[in-house]
Amino acid sequence: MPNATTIALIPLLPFAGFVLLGLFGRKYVKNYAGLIGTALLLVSAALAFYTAYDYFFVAGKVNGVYQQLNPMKITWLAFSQNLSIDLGLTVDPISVMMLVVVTLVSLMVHIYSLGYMKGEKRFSTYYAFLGLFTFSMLGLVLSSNIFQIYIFWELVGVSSFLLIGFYYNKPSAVAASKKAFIVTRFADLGFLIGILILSNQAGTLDFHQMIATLTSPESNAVKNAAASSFLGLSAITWGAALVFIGGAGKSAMFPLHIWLPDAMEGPTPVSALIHAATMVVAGVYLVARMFPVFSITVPAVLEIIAWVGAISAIFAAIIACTQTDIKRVLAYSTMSQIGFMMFALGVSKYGGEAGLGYTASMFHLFTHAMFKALLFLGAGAVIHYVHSNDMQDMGGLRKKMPITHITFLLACLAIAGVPPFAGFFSKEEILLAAYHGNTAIYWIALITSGLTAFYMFRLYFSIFWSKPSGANSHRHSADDHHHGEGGFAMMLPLVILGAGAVFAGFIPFGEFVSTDGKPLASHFHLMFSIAPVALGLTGIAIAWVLYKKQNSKPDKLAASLSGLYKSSYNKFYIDEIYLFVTKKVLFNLIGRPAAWFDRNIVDGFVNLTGNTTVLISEKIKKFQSGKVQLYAIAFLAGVIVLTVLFIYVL
Amino acid sequence: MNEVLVLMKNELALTAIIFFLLIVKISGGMANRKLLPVIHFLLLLNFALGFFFNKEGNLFGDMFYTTPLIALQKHFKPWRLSYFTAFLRLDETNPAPS
Amino acid sequence: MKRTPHLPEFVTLMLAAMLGMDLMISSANMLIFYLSLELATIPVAAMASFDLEKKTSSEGAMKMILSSAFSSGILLFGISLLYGTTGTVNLPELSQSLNGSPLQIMAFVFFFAAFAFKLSVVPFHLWTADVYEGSPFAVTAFLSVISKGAVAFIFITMLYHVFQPMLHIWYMMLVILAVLTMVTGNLFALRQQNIKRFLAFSSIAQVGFILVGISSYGTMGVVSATYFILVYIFSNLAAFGVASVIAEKTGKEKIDDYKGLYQTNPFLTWMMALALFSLAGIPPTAGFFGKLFLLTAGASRADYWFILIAALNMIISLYYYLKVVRAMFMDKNENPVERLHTSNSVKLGLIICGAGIVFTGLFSWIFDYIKSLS
Repeated sequence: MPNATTIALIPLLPFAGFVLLGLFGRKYVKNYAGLIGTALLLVSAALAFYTAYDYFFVAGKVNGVYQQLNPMKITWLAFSQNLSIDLGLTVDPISVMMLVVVTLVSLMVHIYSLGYMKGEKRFSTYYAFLGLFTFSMLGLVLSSNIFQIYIFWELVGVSSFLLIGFYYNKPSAVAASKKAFIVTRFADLGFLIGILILSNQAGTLDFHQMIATLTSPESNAVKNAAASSFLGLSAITWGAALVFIGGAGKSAMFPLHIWLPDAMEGPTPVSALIHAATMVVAGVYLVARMFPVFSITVPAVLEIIAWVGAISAIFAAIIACTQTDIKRVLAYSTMSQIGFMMFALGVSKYGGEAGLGYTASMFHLFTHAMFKALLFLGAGAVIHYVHSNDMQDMGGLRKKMPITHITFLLACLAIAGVPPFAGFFSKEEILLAAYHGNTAIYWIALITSGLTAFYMFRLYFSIFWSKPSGANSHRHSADDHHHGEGGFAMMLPLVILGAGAVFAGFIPFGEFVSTDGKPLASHFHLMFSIAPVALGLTGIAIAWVLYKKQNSKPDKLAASLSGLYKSSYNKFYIDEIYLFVTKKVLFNLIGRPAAWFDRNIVDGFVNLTGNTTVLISEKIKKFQSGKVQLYAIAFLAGVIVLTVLFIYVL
Repeated sequence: MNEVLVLMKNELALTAIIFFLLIVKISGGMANRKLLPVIHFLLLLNFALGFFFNKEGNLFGDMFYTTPLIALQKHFKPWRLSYFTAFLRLDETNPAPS
Repeated sequence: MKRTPHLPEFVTLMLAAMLGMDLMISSANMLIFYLSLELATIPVAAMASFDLEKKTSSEGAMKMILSSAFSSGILLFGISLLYGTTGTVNLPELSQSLNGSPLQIMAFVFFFAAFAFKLSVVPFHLWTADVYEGSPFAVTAFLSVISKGAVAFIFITMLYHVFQPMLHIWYMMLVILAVLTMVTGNLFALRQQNIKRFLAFSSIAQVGFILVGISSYGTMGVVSATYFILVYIFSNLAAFGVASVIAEKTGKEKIDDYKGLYQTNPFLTWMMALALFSLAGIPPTAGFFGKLFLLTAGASRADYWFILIAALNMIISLYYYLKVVRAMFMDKNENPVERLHTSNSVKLGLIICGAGIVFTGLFSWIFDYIKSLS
């Protein structure tokens, strides 16, 4: 059994960093803040790797099945005899896998930021926030209780709010952090109501017991829940759907994705941490954590999950093809890849071979964390060098930034699904699962993976090959000799993650992670892989033709597809639709009448009664007490209405 | 008699403070600056009293009854009041600009 | 209260009102209840007029005493009807003779309305904003926090133990009034520019949430309401405390005046932000747990529309509370409130409230303790 103290230390060390740097950072340890934070995280990552080794190879298996262990459990708040909020640690294959991912990526970002954020005025504050975020994310991963996960979920939201809005002098950054906060809060409300419903039905908040209760068809909870319904759906269906809405908000699934591209206003390493590998996959993790409930009790919701994932995947991929801000391209790419993970879960079933989608989803989460973090960090290095986010200002950088170039290329190959890089293996598994689960989604996924290869290589060629075409491109190319690619601190993470992008695919993931804990043999059909790989290579080839050299072909193509191009460039006007709904529809339909009622009826009534009585009362007294009569009238009216209502109507 | 003392301790303590203030007023008054700490102290005593001798019971032929929960609910108040009096000192230390 | 020569009187009035509340919570007889209710009300009206130089203060007091007299009249009428139909004013005996006849329902509505008035439940709330705005800050805080808390406690006892045979009636009544109260309180709070009126209307909305918890009829209802009131006291006092410091020293009461407060008064700003976060119910402050328990208690009756409306109101309230927070932290202001010197006793008071907001939520034994008592 893994040691509870060791595991508890993994999240607590970054938290210690937060407290230490938050309290003393600015005054005392200013210059060492980064090193302190990084050192603490290094220890935390080492413990995470040790835990993973211990769990997967030594202690985790009983009779060939990985067990879910709870090395620690403290009852924190007891609602009633059987409903309590606990603080616990869960150790099972997915939580251990996430521990490794989160600590590894966070460590890379910590190291990278030593170079990237150097000279920043609020350097120690930045590291304090990073520590807080890492702590909350690790806490979320380890939660043994749906309520505990909610608390960490909110903490993750708050700390990402702080990090995205780190440049608080920049109005766009502040606006973006607000948008992210508000959108995810709406989703979180759904999550909270979902928790209340599910816990009410299951009679527990503990994941383990909840899953056990809600998945056994004989249990009273399931029988009762099937009987009681609200708007035609059973309570459990509602609960599960609402929980998924919470996950969809955090994971930027369509149509709750609007906050993600704007959130790129934060520092780039932050994007690598939050928007590539950790926070945005929290939704996927949540669905995976409650997977038995979704797949056994409410398959209808799982179907919705599959479609939401698939639509998000292709929708984001199309938008990514036309964006020119490199971070936004990466943001939409992230959304698309998370869509892959979502629908892989959606098409999966519980147990044995049919659970391939689940394994594939987690596998893709793992490999995606490596190469997407690498892409963001590489993009950060490029932005650091060029001082612009726009790919039109870049070009021909392959000679000037050799390490960034090579690692970026590796990551692009990985995400495009070219064998033998990491993305190939995980994507192949997802496609296979989709092929067996839902043919329509399989075709969507196939097209999307072709698009993925295209837009990633469009990005790659524009940055590293063709010449800059933007208006202010010459300004930087003239004086670029004064700093190089970035120091050792920035290059080391690129190299490490590059190695991950190449080799992570060879891990026999099915051995470790599956729906029921039994090993799942991974199998490859050569024939099956031909179609996606060929599509991927075609995408790369098209990108090569269009973007390798400066030419007019892309513009011509854009012109000939102008309608599609325009709507894709404008992100299919989703933001505008939201604005329309909130500003025009909600404001006009609810706000205006309410304001009118308020102004004309309430105030008018008040003024009318007020004025008449004032005339009388002013002669008697020096101050206006006329409103008191109105109060008495309202009081009496309330009494009468209630009396009539309860004696004669109800 | 003992029963009354225990069950009505909150009410009796408050009455005692009221009488104390009355005596102060009658005997010529006290500067606010001096009086406030004394009130604070008395309220603090009242607050401390709330932690002890909480039990269930009836008095005066079922006109008055109390339980530990009711005692707790009453207990919410003394410290709130001492909080207010803390704010009354505001003007003593920092006269308003007007 | 500026250098008032009448401090002993003021404190005496406060203590007398408190004595009334204590007796009220403990009363097991309608007459004792009525007398102690008056004892808890009249001194407060005197306190409300204590700002002798301000006309609004005496006006507020006047309004309060008149409306209270009105509600007392209705209450007495209700009590006399109850006595007429049951022949007793002793609460346990009264409970046994209730049969739900129309006359008793009418008596109950009268009785209920008096509570609703004291708790400022819509539509019996109209006096609140004027009185709150006119009175000195300490009195406003006293009214919105202490007297409401005490009345809510006796209200629970009355509903659960005395009017328990009329459960189906008062449940529906609570549902209707809770929805009305939350919606109205929120809609009005959205439009307020004056911080006192803002807090007054937001506290009306908070009472709506208390009604949600009370409606559950069970141990969870008592416990969650008691817990919430404890948390609410901390949060509201901290908010009123900061507002009163600023108002007493600079005379500024507009929300716009709070713009850029963080630049000059970080301590006060953090305390205000903490209080507002707790009132808005953002985890991990205690306010979040308070609201959560209330909603969980309310949900036990499985009226999901009701809970949905309550949850939506939580979101609306989030908006206006955060608006103030944003004004303090993010908005620029050419001439913000100057740096204020706060005395140690005030700081101590605020810190106690702040610690209360944080620890009441985090330390589960407080909740467990309340639960073990009921």
